[in-house]
Amino acid sequence: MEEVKFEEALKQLEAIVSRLEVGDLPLEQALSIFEEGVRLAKLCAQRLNEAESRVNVLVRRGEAGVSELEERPFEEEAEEG
Amino acid sequence: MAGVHAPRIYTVSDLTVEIRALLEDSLSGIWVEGELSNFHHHSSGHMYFTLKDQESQIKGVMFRMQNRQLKFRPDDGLHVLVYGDLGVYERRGEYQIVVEYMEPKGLGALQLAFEQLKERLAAEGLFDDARKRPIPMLPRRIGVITSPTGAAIRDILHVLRRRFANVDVLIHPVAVQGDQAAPEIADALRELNRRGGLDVLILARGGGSMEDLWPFNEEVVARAIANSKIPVISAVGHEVDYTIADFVADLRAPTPSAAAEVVVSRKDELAQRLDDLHARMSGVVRSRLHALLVRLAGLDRHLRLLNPIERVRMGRRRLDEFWTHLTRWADRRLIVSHGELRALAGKLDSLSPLAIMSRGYSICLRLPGREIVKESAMLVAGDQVDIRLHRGSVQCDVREVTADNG
Repeated sequence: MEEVKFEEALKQLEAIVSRLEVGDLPLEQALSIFEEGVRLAKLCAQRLNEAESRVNVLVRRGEAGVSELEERPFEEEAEEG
Repeated sequence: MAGVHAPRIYTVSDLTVEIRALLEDSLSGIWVEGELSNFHHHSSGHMYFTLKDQESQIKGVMFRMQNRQLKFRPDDGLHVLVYGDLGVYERRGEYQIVVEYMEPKGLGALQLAFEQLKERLAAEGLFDDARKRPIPMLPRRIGVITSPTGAAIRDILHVLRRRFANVDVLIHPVAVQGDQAAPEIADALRELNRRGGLDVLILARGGGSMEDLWPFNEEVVARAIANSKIPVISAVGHEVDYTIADFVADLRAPTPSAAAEVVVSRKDELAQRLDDLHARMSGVVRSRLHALLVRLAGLDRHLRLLNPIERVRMGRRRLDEFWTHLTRWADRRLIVSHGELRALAGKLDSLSPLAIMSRGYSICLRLPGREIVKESAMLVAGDQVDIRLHRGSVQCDVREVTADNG
């Protein structure tokens, strides 16, 4: 299942709102695209809130030459850098 | 002219050695100013050129080891100040200045290097708007390439936390000044592209002098930004500082804080936009449904008025009302009539002949027709009459009839 990009979902939602605002759609069709709009709005809202809150820093591990970068939680240093 | 001493005759080599000694001894560590011409950067890495002014010219060379330190690119027509030693190339009997250091006159070397690289990359199209990748509206994971101890990362994280943004940040620590900075930054750009999972990269450094910011004007950094598949936001120095990285980046933020704002404010803005869209959409549908309900109610009313059954029902209702009125009226009428009747009966009673007869009157009826006899002329002798009294009656024969004269 391919994930819909946020931009794409928002664009579709905007199109639906404009389409509904024109008001020339038969009711059945209007309600069916409204449903689709609600689904997209939910999806976007979900995407807006889902980002995890974390700050990691890449740290070099191992001896020079064969070292690898590894993610570790970032701890800010108190003093001025 | 012919002296005691025979003139000294030099071999060419001797002379050249002498010239070399003279020149190289007395003309070492000198500063020369002039215009570059016939500049040629040889594939060996050495640079060959001529320095000239209006009257004279001198050949010059700058070997690879030295010219590697140059920030700018020497070129024909450039006015330069060079430092070096005079050298004699014995095989060709030529002298030249062997340059150790070169700087442009007028502009600072860095400024010139900046202008030159900018011009070159612009000509290549690296700054073209068409190349700019859009910054994703809602980056899930943000890569930050900066010093882990610098002001830039502090500012960025401060802004992100102040805005309560749910952000996922991956910091790639690099040196942001000094000779190692440019290659480290370029490596970091490549590394973060290789790791994947990042939606946008912020290349950040706090404020500093032009020398401090120099790594961000290096070609390796510019190329690495241009080659990044992930959109890059540059946030180097203060608002007034422009670096080559700013021109190549997909978006230039005036400061590291501003770069963070870009990422976060978009989120706020998006949340608002989304709410707005949702409200508009629901509004449209709600008002449409409301209008339909109103119309439906109207139609329903209309339809009911047109329904024949309803008309019958309404007729019946009117009939019922009419009937009630009528019976009520009739009842009243009846009561009135009843009273009238009783009064009439009394009156009638008083008029009854039977009542008069009780007072001694009688009625004479001629037989057999039983006509009431009101005058004697109605009778002749021999007629039979029935005289009705108050109580009972008598049958009589008429003997004589007397006319009444009076």
